[in-house]
Amino acid sequence: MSVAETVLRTRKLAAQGVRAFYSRQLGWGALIVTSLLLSYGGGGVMFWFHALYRGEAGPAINNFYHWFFDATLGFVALTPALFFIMPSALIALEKAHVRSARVRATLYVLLVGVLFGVVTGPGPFMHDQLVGRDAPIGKLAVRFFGYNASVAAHNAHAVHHSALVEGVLQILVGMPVYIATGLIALAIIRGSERRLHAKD
Amino acid sequence: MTEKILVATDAGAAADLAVQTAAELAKAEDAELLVVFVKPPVDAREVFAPGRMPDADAYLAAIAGRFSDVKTRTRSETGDPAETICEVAEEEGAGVIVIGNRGTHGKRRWFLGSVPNAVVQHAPCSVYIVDTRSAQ
Repeated sequence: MSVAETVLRTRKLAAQGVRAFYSRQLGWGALIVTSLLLSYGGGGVMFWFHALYRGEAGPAINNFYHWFFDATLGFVALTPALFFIMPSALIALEKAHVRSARVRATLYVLLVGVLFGVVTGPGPFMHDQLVGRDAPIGKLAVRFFGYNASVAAHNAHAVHHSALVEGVLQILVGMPVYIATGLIALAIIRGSERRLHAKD
Repeated sequence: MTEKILVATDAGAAADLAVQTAAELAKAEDAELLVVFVKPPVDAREVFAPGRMPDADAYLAAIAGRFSDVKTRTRSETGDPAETICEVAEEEGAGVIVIGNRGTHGKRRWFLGSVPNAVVQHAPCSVYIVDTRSAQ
């Protein structure tokens, strides 16, 4: 098979896979739950890592609002990526002929967590450009959530790291975080499915 | 007179209604009944509800016993359901495709389309749509 034929075949399979995944309400529910958990749960851990542990700080707003604001932006920006990541992970497992349900679920969580982690790599850079202390949206956030003097005082000691370093750390630290939150999402979705169909 | 009737199934209750109707048609026409199970490329249930995945092998194995007065054959395929059904129908020279009407009503038909809609548009033969709403 030529390269062009392989590309066409792969595109067709990907389109069919996405269509098949979302042909069931379960696919859509899984997308929403997974995205919420990865954005707000995983995003919470990464917020702590970048803003507090690494000392990058952010706009002069309460840390809870800062997390909520960043996580919501992440949810909006990254759900479209997850829309493709989730069925793609299943397609890859189907191609690899993984038959064991347990192995499939484990590899699925690993794949989604790794791919999501990679996609969030540019996040720290984008965050600083758009939502950081002196960025337009950051200033809007201060007006909306209110100026927090103690956070502002702490910001005076903020540490500036290179975008490349933060991007690499986002991926390396993010992957296990998103794998763990993906596992929680899987458990929640499975539990909900069992309850919904308990009468069947 | 139709010599071969193809019925598509996902082993669900609604599709089973279509299989039963197809068996009645096959008996009336003295035709061969070909039951085709099409597994989609991916299924969200594989990860999120593995216990609800249909057992296609068991379902197809039971077909001959269920319709002992009809000449039956079964096939299991993987692919886009509508495309695969049409391909198999063409390959087998089916005279009629029998399919349930799941997904032909409601919002879903506008956004995602539906398997029966796609089969009707691309089938190489006649299509008989069974009202399976009572089983949905």
